[in-house]
Amino acid sequence: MSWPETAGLLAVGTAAGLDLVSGPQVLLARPIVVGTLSGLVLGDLAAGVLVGGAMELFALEVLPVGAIKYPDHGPGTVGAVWFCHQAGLTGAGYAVLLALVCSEIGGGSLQLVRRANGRALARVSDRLDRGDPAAAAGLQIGGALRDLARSLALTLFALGAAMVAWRWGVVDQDIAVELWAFVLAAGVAGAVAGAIRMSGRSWRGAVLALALVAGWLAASVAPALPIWEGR
Amino acid sequence: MAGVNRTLLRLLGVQSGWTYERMGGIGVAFAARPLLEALAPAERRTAAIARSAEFFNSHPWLAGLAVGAEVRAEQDGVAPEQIRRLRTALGGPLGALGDRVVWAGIFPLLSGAAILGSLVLGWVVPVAAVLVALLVRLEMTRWALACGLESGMQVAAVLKRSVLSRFGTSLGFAAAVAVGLAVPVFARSTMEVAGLGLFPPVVVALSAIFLVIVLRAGSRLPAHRLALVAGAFLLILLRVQRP
Repeated sequence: MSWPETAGLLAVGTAAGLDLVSGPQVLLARPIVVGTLSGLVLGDLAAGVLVGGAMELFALEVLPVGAIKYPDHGPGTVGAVWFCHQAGLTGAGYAVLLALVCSEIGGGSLQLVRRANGRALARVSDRLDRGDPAAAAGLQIGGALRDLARSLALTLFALGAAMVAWRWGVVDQDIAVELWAFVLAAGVAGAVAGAIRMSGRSWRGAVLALALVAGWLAASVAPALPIWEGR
Repeated sequence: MAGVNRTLLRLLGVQSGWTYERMGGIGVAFAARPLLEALAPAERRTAAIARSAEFFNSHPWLAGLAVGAEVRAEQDGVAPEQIRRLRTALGGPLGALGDRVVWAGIFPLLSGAAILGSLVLGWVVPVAAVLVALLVRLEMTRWALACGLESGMQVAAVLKRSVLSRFGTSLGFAAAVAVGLAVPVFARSTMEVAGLGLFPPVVVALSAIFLVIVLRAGSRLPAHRLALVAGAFLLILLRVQRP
């Protein structure tokens, strides 16, 4: 991996991790965006869209409401796209599993940052209760810096894990297709489950079912999509 | 009003200092500060800043409404207990509205469009989705702050009548269409990528089984954990079968 590629992937992963909570939350953390940008950095858009799209299916299940614990899919997707770029599209199942492990670790790291924020709050809560404006500013900026460090570390970990997995030759081409089927089916189940839960008992559920059928029929008769041409 | 732009900028990162103890309270205090600086005398200002840092939870895209309403109430000299009650009363409805409009509306809509678009038009669509989200976020944050500053203690009634409250349902339908189309198109197309030739009914059947498991298990076994468990099981099983 060249230095520009390394810098680009670290920037994409860190921006994604930061945007999940501390940033403006404008889709930069979504795997389809992270995967596409990582694919662009590596000059392999197909790998980026394949891994990013599959990870997005899992992200569509998550409703980040209140204080619930949720995975951080962004930084792991960066490592997974690099892995898929090396292994070829047949390694996508392994790449997605790697990204999902990193997502779980990412979710845990978010809890660590929140607890660190809580400890920082305990240290200045007297000043805060007296109305010292610098106390709130310090907590807010400190929280952002912790999240920045967390996102960078998680991206480094994801890329490191991808490199180790690639060097160890974990991809077994004989079972790559079966693994992709399992991963894809779980992703589809996650995305549909998320959409069903968000629909509640409204007509939205019927609209979702119709769209699923229409999408399947359209994909069955449509010609090969441009993104996969030549792959 | 002096400080509005600084408050808007700070609202874009309102959850940076999120804690379990005060949730978004620190972010609200940090965002409100530029608007509270003009309050006099100093005792009134420090008391207002201290109140703004108390426990608060809402949706990040709509937190500006609470910030604006609270600042206006402080400027109008409303009693501290009433301001606290306003914060408590606003948290739930703002959270519910934001969840419905943003997390269950705008995000799945743009994500579905990004998946579909990336398959046909390449990187342009996911990047455009980010730009659209950024523009909507900026406009929603600006509107929320302005609405809060204008209506003060009457903000709940104004929120109820707002366009945003009526938007949720339409956005939900649009999101269902986008996700409903994107999921099968993505899944079907990846089965035909070179080297990944799969028999579609097998994946459909497997997806249906996994869907039942995920829906029944709820938060105990979300799809990403199911994928990890199923993937690990499959790897072990197939490696044993094909040494």
